[in-house]
Amino acid sequence: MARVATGDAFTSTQRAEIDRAIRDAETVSRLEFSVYVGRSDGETRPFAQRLHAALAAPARSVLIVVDPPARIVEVVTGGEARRVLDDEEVKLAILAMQSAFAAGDLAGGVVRGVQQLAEHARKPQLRHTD
Amino acid sequence: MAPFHALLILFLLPAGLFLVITLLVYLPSMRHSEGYQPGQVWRGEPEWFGGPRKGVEAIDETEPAAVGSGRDGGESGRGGASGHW
Repeated sequence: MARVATGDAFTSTQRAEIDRAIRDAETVSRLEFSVYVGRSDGETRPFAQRLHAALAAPARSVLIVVDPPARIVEVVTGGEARRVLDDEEVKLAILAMQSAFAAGDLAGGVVRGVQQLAEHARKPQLRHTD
Repeated sequence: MAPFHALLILFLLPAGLFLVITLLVYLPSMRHSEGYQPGQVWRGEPEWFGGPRKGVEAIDETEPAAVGSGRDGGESGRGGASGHW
């Protein structure tokens, strides 16, 4: 018989870790990061796109949607975000998340995913030549 | 000062305060569950970190045109990827 989760998806410590990872990622990449964890309303990809469109600045936002019951992870990048974070780089971050999720580490996978996406989106520092 | 009073003020009161503060700090996290574990039935409420204040309800107010464009529609150049575990 399947066990039932008795409480929230995350402990307060895990929640704080995810918040910190998002803040650090935004500082590093200058993009907006958002993470949704929960059951999708219908198909996951269209649902993720609807969530992404509802963000304050969708064009420069990166949204991670994790649907634990369906075992699906979706990443949606806005038009501006995609210029510094292409789909291949997103797939690499998804691979890292998948392995953590498969090992049962939901919060750790989210944190790792956010960190990897931010690292890929980090622009090289411009050096003034004059 | 009686020896008992000195003992009370110097040792017992600080020790008691230490215990009370420690309990207040650790009790909330001890009451929490371990979070979601694989194999459990998902009963958790959706959590949206860095999302709009209205939460999931905000998607009802989004223009359908803003949702329809993107990687699958082509207009805004939206991208991303999916995975399954």
